[in-house]
Parts: sequence; structure tokens; C-alpha cells
Amino acid sequence: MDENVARLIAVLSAYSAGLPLVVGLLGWGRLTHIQKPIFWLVIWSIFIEMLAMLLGPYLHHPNLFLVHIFTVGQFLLLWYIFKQRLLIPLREVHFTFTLVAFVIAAILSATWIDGWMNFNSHARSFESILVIFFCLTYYYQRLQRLDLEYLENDPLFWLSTGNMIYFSASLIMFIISNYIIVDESMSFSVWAVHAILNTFNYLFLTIALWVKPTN
Amino acid sequence: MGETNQLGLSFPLLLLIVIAMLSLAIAVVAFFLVYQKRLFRQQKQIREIEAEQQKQLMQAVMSAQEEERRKLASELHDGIGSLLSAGKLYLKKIESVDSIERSRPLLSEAGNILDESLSTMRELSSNLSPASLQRYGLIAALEDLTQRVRKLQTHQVELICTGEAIRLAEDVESSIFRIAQELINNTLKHAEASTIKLELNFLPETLQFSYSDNGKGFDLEAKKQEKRRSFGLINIESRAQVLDAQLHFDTSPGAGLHLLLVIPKNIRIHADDKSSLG
Repeated sequence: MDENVARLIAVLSAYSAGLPLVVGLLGWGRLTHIQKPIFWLVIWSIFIEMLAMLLGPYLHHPNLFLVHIFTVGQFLLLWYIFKQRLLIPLREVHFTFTLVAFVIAAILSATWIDGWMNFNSHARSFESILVIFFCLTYYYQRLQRLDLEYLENDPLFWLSTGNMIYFSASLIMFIISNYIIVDESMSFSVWAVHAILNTFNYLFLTIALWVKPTN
Repeated sequence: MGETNQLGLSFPLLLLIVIAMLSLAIAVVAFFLVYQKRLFRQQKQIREIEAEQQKQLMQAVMSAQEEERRKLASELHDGIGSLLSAGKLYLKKIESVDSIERSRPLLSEAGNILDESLSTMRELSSNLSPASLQRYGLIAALEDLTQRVRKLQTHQVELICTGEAIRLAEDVESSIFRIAQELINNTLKHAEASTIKLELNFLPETLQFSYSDNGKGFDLEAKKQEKRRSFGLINIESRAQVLDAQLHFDTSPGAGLHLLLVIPKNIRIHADDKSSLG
């Protein structure tokens, strides 16, 4: 893939975060206890994105360490959102275990396995698996309870679906990310695909913030 | 395109894997949505069936009450009412008679009419709520019921009780009795049977009540499909449901009727529990 096209896709993906931001800001007053953390997730993504742009293209400073910080923040927010709704069938102990396991994985990835200045391939892959697990648990819970007939009004349905699609498709890219970094052309292509998936995820987050839960 | 790296993985191959994973994720979500909608549809259908059954039951209860009132009114009017009118006429006649000697047969006739009125009233009261059921329990009430059928001399009636009999809560005994009463009434009215057999079997875990006649039977499935189902069948089914009992019907045209009701013994037991009645 052409480097300029890949960069354009990446920039467009970064700007697409503006959509959920605007929807979240306009509807702030009516956001529910589930939607507010989703909005914080968007803010967190934009904050790290801006910091990365400032450090990289403008200050020409390595910015890969930001991915380590972003991953931890993103997982903590997703963990908190899912914990609010999935304590049945899951239990407190499951959430504590996933949190501790992830924090250990993130520390090991940053300090030992991948390195602070490399892409956190292991932590991000582990995060993907855990988030996919939460999404599947959400679907299972819906089938067990049959309490929400109109899923399109449930913000967590859109968050789960967006994350399910984004993390499932991105998992392979996270796993191989550190192996392809030397192949610049492929690296650009891979991150362009990732940027497209990320844009879709932002669209799902926009819907999650847009809907008015009625169930 | 087609660049290689440390892994020897080409971009098209990677893209293929990404698309495969993406398709899998979309398939999971699609399956979930379709399955969830289907479950909701099923749940809605079940709710509709339950509501329809509830409606039928309500209608049956209401028509039963109406029928009972009509029967009671007719019994009072045609039976006791006419007897008392006749008694009153006799008493009026006595007023106009000048000698005691001549009034004696009239007094005696009036007394007979009053006796008959009392007897009719007792029978009516017993039909409405058998005193033997409350006082002596289910077996005694069933004995009374079968005895009354025997008196008609049209059917051979047999009541068998096995196992260690215990008294159950009043409403439980009453439900079983009403089922037996309903079945006997149906047999007498429609079955053209010559024998009736009732059996109460007190087992360690369950109480089994079985009923059979050698009548003409009926097509159970067709009866169940009828839009306006017979009250008797609904009445028996709903009573069994309240008792948490299993109900088995076995009947077909020309094959008589066999019914088995298996009632869990852990249902409420009468306050004077374990008084042996067997």
C-alpha cells in the first residue's frame, strides 16, 4: 500500500474520534452511567492520539511508549464498563483476576517482553482476548436473561459489537506487530487496515453514545 | 504488495486472516442477534398460549359458577320450593277443617312433606360441600360418593384404597374429591359405562389416584383441539396443576377412560396428620 494513502487513512481514523466526541458532548446531560465511561474512553483515545501526534510528527520524539499507557487506560475503562453489567454470570473474583492478570501482562510487556519503546504486542493481544471474552459474556448474558428485547437501544450492545469486531480482526495484527516493523511497506499497510477497523469502532462508540436506553 | 518480513508473512495473506477473523466476529454477532430474536419470539408465543389458557380457565370457572347457581336455583325452586308450597296448602286446609279428627291425616301429610323438604335440603347441601370430606377426610367422602352411585343401581362401582392413608390439607383433599366427582358425573352422563373403578394408592413418595370406566371413551386429542374445550377437562387439568400433580389420560373411542393422577406427597398435610384412615 502506498505510504501516503496509509498515512491519510491513519489521519482520517484519528479524526473519526471527533464523531463520538461531538455526540457525547451534545448529549452529556442524558448520558447514563454506562455511557459516561464510554465517553471517557473516547476522551482517553483522543488525548493519547493528540499526545502521539505532538511527540511524533511535531517534536520528532519516539512516541511508542504511549501505546503502553493507552492500552492500560483503555482496558481499565472497558473493564469498569463491563463490570457494571456482567457481575452475573461473572463474579467479582473473575473481574479481579482479569484485572490483576492484565496489569501483570502490561508491566511484563513494557519492562521485559516487548520493551517500553516497542509496540506492546503481548499486552495488546492479551487485552484483545480479555475484551472479546467480555463481549461474548455480554451476548451470553443477553440470551440467558432475555431481558432486553430492543438491543439497538442498549449502549453496551454497540460497545460490545464494536469491540468484538475491532479486537477480533486486529488480534493478528497485534500479535505480529513487532515482527513486521522492519518491513516499512507492510507495516504501513497493516496499520492502515488497523486504522480502518479503528474508524469502525469509533462509529460503534458514536452509536453507543447516541442511543437513549429505553429497556 | 507481496512483501515478506521476519515471519515470511505476505500482506495479502495477513489481510486474508484479518478478513477471516472479521467475518467470524460478524458471524458471531449475527448468530447472536438471530438467536436472540428467535428466543424472544418463542417466549412471546408461550406467553400468548398461557394467556389463552388462562382466559379459557376463567371462562370455564365463570360458566361453572353460573351453572352451579342455575342448578341451585332450580333445586330450590322445583324441589324444596314446591314441597314447601304443598306443605303450606295442607296447613291452610287444616285451618278450615272443624274437627281434630279430620285434620289428623292432613297434619300427617304436612309432616311428611316437611321431612321430604329436609331430606332434599340435606342432599343439596351434601352435594355442594360434603360434610364427610371435612369431618372424615377424602376416603370417607369417596365412599359416600360411590355409595350414592351404587344406589342408582345402574353401575358397578368399586373403590380401592392401598398403602398407609394420611390426611392431606383440606383444599388438596377437596381438589381430588372434585376431580373424582367430575369424572363420575361425566361417566354417568356420557360414557354409557357399566363399571367404574376408583383407586387411591398411598405410596411413600406419592399419592396415586386412578379412575377408570368401561364406557365409550372419546378422542382426547380432538377434545383438546376444540376451540371451546369442555369445562370438565379444563377443570380436571387446572386442579391437577394446582396440586402440582402429573396427570395421565388414556382414552380413545370405544376403549373406556383411564386416568392416573400422581400427586407429590410433600404437598401440605392436614393438621391432624397421620390419622390412619385406611
